[in-house]
Amino acid sequence: MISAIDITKNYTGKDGTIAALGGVSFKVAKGDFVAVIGRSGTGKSTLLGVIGGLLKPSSGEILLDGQSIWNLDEQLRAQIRAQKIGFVFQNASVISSLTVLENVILPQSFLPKPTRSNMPRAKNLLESVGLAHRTHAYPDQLSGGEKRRVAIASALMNAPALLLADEPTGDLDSETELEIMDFFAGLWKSGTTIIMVTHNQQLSNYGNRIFKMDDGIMTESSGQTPTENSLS
Amino acid sequence: MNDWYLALSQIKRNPLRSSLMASGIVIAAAVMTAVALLIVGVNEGITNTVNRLGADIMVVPRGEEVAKQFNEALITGKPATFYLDPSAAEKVSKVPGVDHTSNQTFVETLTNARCCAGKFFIVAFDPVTDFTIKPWLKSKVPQSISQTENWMIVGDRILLRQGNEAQFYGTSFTVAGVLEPTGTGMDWTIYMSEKSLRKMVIASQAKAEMPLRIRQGDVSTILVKAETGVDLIDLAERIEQAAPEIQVVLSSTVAKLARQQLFAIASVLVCVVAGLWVMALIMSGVIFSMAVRERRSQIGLLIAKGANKRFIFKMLTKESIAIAATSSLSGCLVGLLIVISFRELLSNALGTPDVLPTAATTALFVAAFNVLGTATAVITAIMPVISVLKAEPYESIKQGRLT
Repeated sequence: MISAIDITKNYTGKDGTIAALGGVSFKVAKGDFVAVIGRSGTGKSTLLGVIGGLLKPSSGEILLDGQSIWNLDEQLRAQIRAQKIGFVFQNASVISSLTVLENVILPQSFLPKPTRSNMPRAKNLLESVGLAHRTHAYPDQLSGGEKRRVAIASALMNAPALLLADEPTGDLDSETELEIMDFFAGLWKSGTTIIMVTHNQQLSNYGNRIFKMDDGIMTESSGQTPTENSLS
Repeated sequence: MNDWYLALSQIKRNPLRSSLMASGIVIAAAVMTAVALLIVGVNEGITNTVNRLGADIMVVPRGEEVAKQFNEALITGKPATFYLDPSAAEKVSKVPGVDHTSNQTFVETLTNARCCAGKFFIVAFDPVTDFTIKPWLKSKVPQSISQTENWMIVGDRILLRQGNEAQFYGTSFTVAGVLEPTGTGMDWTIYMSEKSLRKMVIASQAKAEMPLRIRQGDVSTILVKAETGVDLIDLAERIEQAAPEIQVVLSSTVAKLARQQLFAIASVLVCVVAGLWVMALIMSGVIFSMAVRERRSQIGLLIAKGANKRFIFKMLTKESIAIAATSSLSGCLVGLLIVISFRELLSNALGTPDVLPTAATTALFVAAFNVLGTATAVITAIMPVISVLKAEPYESIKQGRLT
């Protein structure tokens, strides 16, 4: 599904050029749950941005279903994001001026051929993340965990084949963290490909493949099948 | 859910920020509209005065102060009192090129005249030779009143109507007619016959607190109608040569003098308005810029969800259009309301017949300033958007606030 070919990303600052990604190559098959682990500042999030078409690499290529996303123009890349990729971020989870339900429906507006508002799907998604009772609430009325769940429901609105999650449980309590990770596990079981970056070693056990990131270099550390334990 | 929906939801959910942005534009647009209407209105008033003078040439005593007083009297109806040498009228009427003349004598009412508060301008004229006042009468003067010995004709803005009586310098007068609104000093002037004036002067010696001191034969101005085809500049020169103690005022000179006064004030006002507008633009631009920067992560999030940069640009532009257009329109209407509410006060303060242009001009100005205000505010507001859009969406998400 995804092929990353010799991806580099350099940042030029006052202290010279820093290589955030130093020639990363890997392949992710459809249905994989990839956990990318590593300390802060090792290039995990940068990699996720490059895969998702949100951060232009200095060199290299990302192929999504055989299509090189960085050779497309900005508009086509946006269409691919709308159709095929769902994002869950730690930093930005929801649009503050929209209600919970509007946040969930929002990605549908960016589909190349806008369909009629799929309200039942949005409501089902909210129900599946346990927020059916908060449809008309605004983000400032939600807790951090609730916001993250709205973000997940929104990311899934267009039924993306690929879910990219950047520290999806960062700054959440352990109970909420568990709920969210269980939800991800369920998604994976239903066939969604997931790439999740985290600094939490324990959470990486949810993935069937674990990549380790260190100073912009990525190595696959295991090819395990998740245990029942890690999914519960 | 389109770009308009998202733009309006931002405005609705951030009322303080939106009203802060709007308030600067409202104030600036209101002042800009009010000042522009004042300048145009006053200018129109001057043009009206000049077009409606009726006389081709006006003759007054020589002197700068006299010319200034005469000008003000014509445009605003402010009382003026100066008198020509009695022989001047005859000299002027004999100048070749003069078709006919009509004399007027100026008096001012006392502040305690029974009809009206403040000083009013009284002009005595000869009904037989007059060609500038009677054409403005609203209706025919009734026979009964025209036969009244002491009659007067009043301008549209004098609070007296046909049949009303008023007493000046101890003599009672009956209103025989009211003039059409002229948008000139005539609206604020009281007219009476030369014969009545003479009676009033005599009666004032015995009855008035301050007797009138106008000599028999004194006139303030001689209004000249030139023969058809005569060059007015040549005629003016000939008149001045015939009577060196007088000066000739051409209608174009009246306009020039009045406009000089207007433009002195206008240039200051324009500078103030320009400064205010720049300040409002900077203020709204800074607030919008801060708002956009604060929302960088949300902009990045929209891009992550599939929005392209064109959509983001349109959304932010529409947000600024919605704020700028409504606040600019409100400001323009507030400006118009200010001018309408203080119309009389402003015209008195500025010494002009009126401060409000015609309805069509007013509508045009309100529309033009609304478009101008909206356009400039939008341009200022969207400038920071470009820099935010240039950034990598993922960087924007990482740099933004936690939401």
